[in-house]
Amino acid sequence: MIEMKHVSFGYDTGKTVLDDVSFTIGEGECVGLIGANGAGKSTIMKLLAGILFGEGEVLIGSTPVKKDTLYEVRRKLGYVLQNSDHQMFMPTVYEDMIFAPRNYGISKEETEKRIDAVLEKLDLTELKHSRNHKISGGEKRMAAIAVILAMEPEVILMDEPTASLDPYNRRIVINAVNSLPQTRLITSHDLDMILDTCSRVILLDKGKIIAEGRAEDILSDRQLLEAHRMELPLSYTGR
Amino acid sequence: MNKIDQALTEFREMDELADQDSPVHHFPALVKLPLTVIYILTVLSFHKYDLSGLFVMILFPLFFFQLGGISVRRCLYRLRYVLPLVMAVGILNPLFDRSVLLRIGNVNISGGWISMLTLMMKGVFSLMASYLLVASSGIGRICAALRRLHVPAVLVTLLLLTYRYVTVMSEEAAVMTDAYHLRAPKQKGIEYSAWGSFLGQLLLRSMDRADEIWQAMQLRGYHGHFHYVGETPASLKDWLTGILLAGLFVFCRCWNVTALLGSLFV
Repeated sequence: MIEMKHVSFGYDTGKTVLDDVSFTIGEGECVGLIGANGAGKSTIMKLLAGILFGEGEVLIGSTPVKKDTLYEVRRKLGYVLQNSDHQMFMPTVYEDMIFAPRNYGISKEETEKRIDAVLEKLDLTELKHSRNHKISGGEKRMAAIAVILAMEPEVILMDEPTASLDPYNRRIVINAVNSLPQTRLITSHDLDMILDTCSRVILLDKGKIIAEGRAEDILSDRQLLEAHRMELPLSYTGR
Repeated sequence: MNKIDQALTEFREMDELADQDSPVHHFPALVKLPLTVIYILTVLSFHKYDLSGLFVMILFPLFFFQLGGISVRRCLYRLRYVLPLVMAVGILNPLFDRSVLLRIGNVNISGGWISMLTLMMKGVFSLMASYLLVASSGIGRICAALRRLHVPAVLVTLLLLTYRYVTVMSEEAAVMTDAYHLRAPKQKGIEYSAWGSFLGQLLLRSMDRADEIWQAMQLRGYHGHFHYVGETPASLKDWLTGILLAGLFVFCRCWNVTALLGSLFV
């Protein structure tokens, strides 16, 4: 469903951000992309979404991510940004939710059906007509996920979905992520969340894939994590 | 709350006002918009000495403020930054136009004073009508109406995004001002020497944020065409109401209603 083949990316300054990165994510799989700051996680997300373009091949489904295929790619792909304030740019949750379906030519009736179904699934019906600046951080994060789900994407990219959330809202987001049938790629420093949601993990450092495998195996490897400026998730430290 | 936060709250309250439930709010923006333009044009077309004729025009916004449950006081308070400018427009008239137009007791009132008052009233009435339009429709419905009136999409989108961008910039400015004051507790404002870097940073931060919002829009299929929500279609009854009101404006412009009413009693 998601494929990166020998992808490299560098900025004009000559700094290499990604160096020959290749991985595949199957349909319906939930994969965690972990690494310290500056490892290249966000760059991978941006390459998958067609915000950046590098060397090598990037595929969403069978569609290569290129400038002339962006419309098709983005129709299949939902990207939950790290900062919900940037994601929720319309005045109300409802207006944000209809934004993508209407842009993709989905009828008014179908859009309404989708919105109601998504809000009910995420238990957010009460927020439907709320103003974005009036809802809490946790609600906004959930609404940002709802906004993406209203697109009915085949692939969901999530950038730090639990960042700055309190434990209660963090658990709500984790449950929501787990309930999704779509192919998901999640970047996060919250390794406990990755452990709770992802079956597979890709560890990235300095633009290279260091390790890839079962979440339990990688996230319990203290030596590996510490060698790449990370720590064991709290669930494995016994604290 | 710092002043920018307060301004931001007031700005957002405008949108919230538009969510109220009243006949004025339900009246389609598609009719309200041209009606407001006609009202403003009518008000502006009054002769500079026609103070009594113009006076009756205040009744329209006042009536609709009442009907819409929108506070006139809040309106004048929110327009506090613009009103002095509007009022200053005719401030020199009394100096240049000294011809005596009327006498009240022993006091001579010159044409300059009358024209100054007329200009001020024209400004205030026009602003009140514009405020009423935004407060009872919201920017989204106004933009939808503009599109239906065949105003070019580029202009309408520009208007909408500029409106939205004001909040983005204000939010950044509010955060930066708070951060500044936390480290400069005894300063009342921002020191002149810091203004250059402050404004530069504000611009850069706002651009970064706007860039991210733009990416978020593109990621959700935006290709230059906004789909506006909430606009109720205008029925024949709405159009007829609009035409009737426009007719009343023109009537008040052509006949001095205040003088007509006065003649009934004198």
